[in-house]
This record gives sequence, C-alpha cells and structure tokens, in this order.
Amino acid sequence: MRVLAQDENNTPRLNDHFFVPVCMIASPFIKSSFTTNLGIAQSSEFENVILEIDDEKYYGLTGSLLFADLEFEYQQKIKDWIALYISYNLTARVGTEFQSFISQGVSTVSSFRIGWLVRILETEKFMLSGDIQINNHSATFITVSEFVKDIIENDTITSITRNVPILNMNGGLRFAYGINKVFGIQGFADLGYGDSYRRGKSDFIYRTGGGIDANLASTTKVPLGFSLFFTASALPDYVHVAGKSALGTGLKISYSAAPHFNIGLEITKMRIPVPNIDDKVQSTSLFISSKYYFN
Amino acid sequence: MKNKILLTTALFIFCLNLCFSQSYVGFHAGLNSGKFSGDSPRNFIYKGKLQYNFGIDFDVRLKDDLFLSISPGYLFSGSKLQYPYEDIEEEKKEYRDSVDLKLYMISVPLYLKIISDNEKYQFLGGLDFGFPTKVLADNSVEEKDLYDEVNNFTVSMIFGLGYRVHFTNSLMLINLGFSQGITNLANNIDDQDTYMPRVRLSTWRFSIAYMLPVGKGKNTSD
Repeated sequence: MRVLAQDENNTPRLNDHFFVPVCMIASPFIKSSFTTNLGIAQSSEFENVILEIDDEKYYGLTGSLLFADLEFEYQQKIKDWIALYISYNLTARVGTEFQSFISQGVSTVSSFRIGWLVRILETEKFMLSGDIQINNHSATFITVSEFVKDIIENDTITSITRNVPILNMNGGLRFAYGINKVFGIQGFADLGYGDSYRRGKSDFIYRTGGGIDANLASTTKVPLGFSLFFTASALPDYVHVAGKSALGTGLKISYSAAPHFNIGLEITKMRIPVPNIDDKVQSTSLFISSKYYFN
Repeated sequence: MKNKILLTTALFIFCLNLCFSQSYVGFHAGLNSGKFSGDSPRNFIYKGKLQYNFGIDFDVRLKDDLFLSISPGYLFSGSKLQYPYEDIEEEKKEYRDSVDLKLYMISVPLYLKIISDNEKYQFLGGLDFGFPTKVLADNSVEEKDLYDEVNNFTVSMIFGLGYRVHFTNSLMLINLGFSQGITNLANNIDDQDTYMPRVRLSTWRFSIAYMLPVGKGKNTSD
C-alpha cells in the first residue's frame, strides 16, 4: 500500500513520480511554496597565506574555514504558467584558527533575490521552465592581511572592513523528467552578468546542477526519498573570489510521505575557491532543508 | 537622443492601440520612496526619501489576461545622506541628515501586466528606463549640480502588484511596485581611480491610475 495519496498531494509530480526537492537544484515547477535552508560547512585544512607583497606569498600555519548559511525563499504561483519568487540568503565564513583568521578574516554576504519563473513546456513526463532574476548582494570582508598589505604596498591607510555591493542578473532554464513512479531527474542552468568582487569589472557568472532522485513513498511503505546531485556555481553568495567557481556533489535523504511538506538532510562535498589560495579547498556541508507547498 | 526615444515610444504605442483589441489609456499619480543603495561616503549611510511621480499609461491587450504596458512619466526621487553623530551628554549615537540628494528623471517603464483569474488583481514585471534631467546635492547651505557625475541613462527592473476597481466604462488601478536599479548611477569618468563607486537607485512606488478603454473588441469587464 502506498504512503502517498495522489489526489491530495501538492508535491510536484510528473508521470506519477513525486520529486524530491533539493536546495542546490532550482525547481521548474510553478507552485506556491515556502522553503527554508539552514546549513554549516567546514573546509579541510590548508596552508594560509599570511601576507602577499609584490606577488611573493608568505605562508603561515595551516588552518581551516567554517561556513554557515541561512536561506528563506517564497514562491507565489500567479497563473498556471508563471510564478514570482523572492529569497533572502545569508552566508558567513570565518577562519577557525588564529592563522586562518588572520589570513582569511571574516566575511559575510547577504543576498536578496527576486525573479520570475515561466513554464515553457509541459508534457506527462517532462517539464521545462525559464527564469529570470535579479540578485542584490552585500558583501562585508574583515581581513587583517589585506589591511596590512594596503599599508605596505599602496602606502594608504584603509579600513580593516571592506564593503562591496554586487548586483547581477541571471536567466536560465530548468527541467524535470519523471522516469517512472520511483525515479526522476531534475536539472537547471543559469547564466548571468553583473558586478564582481573586483571593482571596475563586470563578469559573467553561471550556476548549474542536476540530480536523480528516488521516492520510495510512491510505491512502498518506506516514507523516504533520496537524491544524488551535482552542483557548480560562480554566484557571489557561494564564491567569494571573482572569476572562480565552486563544484560539488551531494546526497539528500528526506521524509517525502507528507502531501504538502518535505524535510530532509543534504550532505554536500564541495571544492571552493578561497581568497589568496591558489588551489580550491575541500569542504563538507550539512543542510537541513524544508519545503512547504501551498498549491 | 532623449527626444527621439520618446517620439519613437509614442508612435509605437499609437500603432499598437490601432492594431490590438480593447486596450486602455489613462494617467497615474502617486508617491515613491527612493533610496540609493551601494557605496556611500565613509561613515555615511543612505536613507530613503519620500517623493512623488506622475505620468500617462497605455495598456495594450495581448491576451485576455495579459497586457503590455508602458507608462512614461516624471519621477521625483533621490536619497538622503546621514552621518553618525555622538551626543556625549546623553551618551547615545544617532544618524543625522547631512545632504539631500535630489534626482529628477523621465521614467519610461515597459512591463507585462498579468491579470488574476477573478480580474481583481494584477501582477507587474518589466524594465524601467530612466533619463535623469536634474541631479542636485543640497546641504542646506548650498546646492551643487551633480548632473555630470551621473550616467544619463539608467535601467531598473520592476516588480509589482495592484488592485483593479471596475466602473461601468472605466477602470481604476491601485498599484504598489518595487524597482531596483540595474545600471550604475555613478558616472565613473576617472579611469585612474581604482575605487569605482557602485550606486543604484531602489524605489518603492505607490500610484493610483485611472484608465479608459480604447480600441476594437467588445467592452468586457476587463
């Protein structure tokens, strides 16, 4: 006996497959919903650059970074073919030991996003939507090493705190395919343009991801859904270095038997670029992700 | 350049109205609260400023529940600059008005208007093209002209919703919208300066519009 009753279920579905929402994958479905994501991450240890003067790097001891992320998103279905969404995201990053604190400092990025999601094509098994959004980020960096570098190299007294406003626009496509009652595929790709962390320059940015999910609640008494996914992003709220991107893979385990609600745990392994470090650092993140569907 | 764009816009609207089934023309007026966002002078912050706007409206019907709208008008906007003031006697810190930044512009928003199923609500989304005509900084002692220090063309993205009141042969719209500047207001003319300020205008707009139906097609409730 199936756990889910199809007629009362607001969870997006195609070909009788109820999709497992993933916070790293943008959904193509025109639904009214409210999403919250709360996560922490820690990087692997890396060698810190304490100072960089005239392209020569002075290394200190090893250290790591701690990340925290909080996101709220509300999407309102206006017609069957169009929805409006707004979201707020706050990301913080801090060095965990003294040497990584000196080298990397503390940074926070708050992001406000507003956009439109438009259905382009829908069949029994497949859905394709397009979206356009505007992202307004406000980044604050407290970096001791950059402050010292400014004094030594540029002979100027600057502030230990740097504020960088960043605005960009994204547009892209999102799709979902219901393979059968158990399995489904979701994916998206966005391309954007706008401010970067380097003043005086504008950059192209991208974000993409995809995954395959299995919802056991559709055909068994097990009320669980799983999703295996990948993600790549150069958005300023994830990547604090201009011109680089973060890559990752992850797994989500969620409770998927509720007709209007999904909650789960996402575990993601990412390779993230870090300022003043040539190589990307590995990080492991844990997200608690919940989504409530109104209609 | 400005005149050519306005003339082209007017011709475009006139032709569209002749071709499409029942559309609307009217006028609007309202209040707006604008604020510069982005870089501010050190230790200063931007604060919102309440001003007003007015203009004319053209709603061209594309489908039963979809209109293409253009609402050229004039926008009085700007922002206040505040600096931190420490009252030593009362031991408190507060922000006080310092400079009044006035931005007056011709605004030409172009957006899609989606009507709800019950025909009472509408949702807006599109672009607003702005052409500053006057930019002043007033510190209550003197007024400085900043027109050369801002770009003479700005683009904003608009989002909004409204309520539609139907009369026998006309329509009243009560709109609330938000526009976020996409292009930089500051004119970075000094290429030697590595610090490029990023300043944009974000505005909340409230307006009331009165519209009359024009064009072909039967006079439906919408």
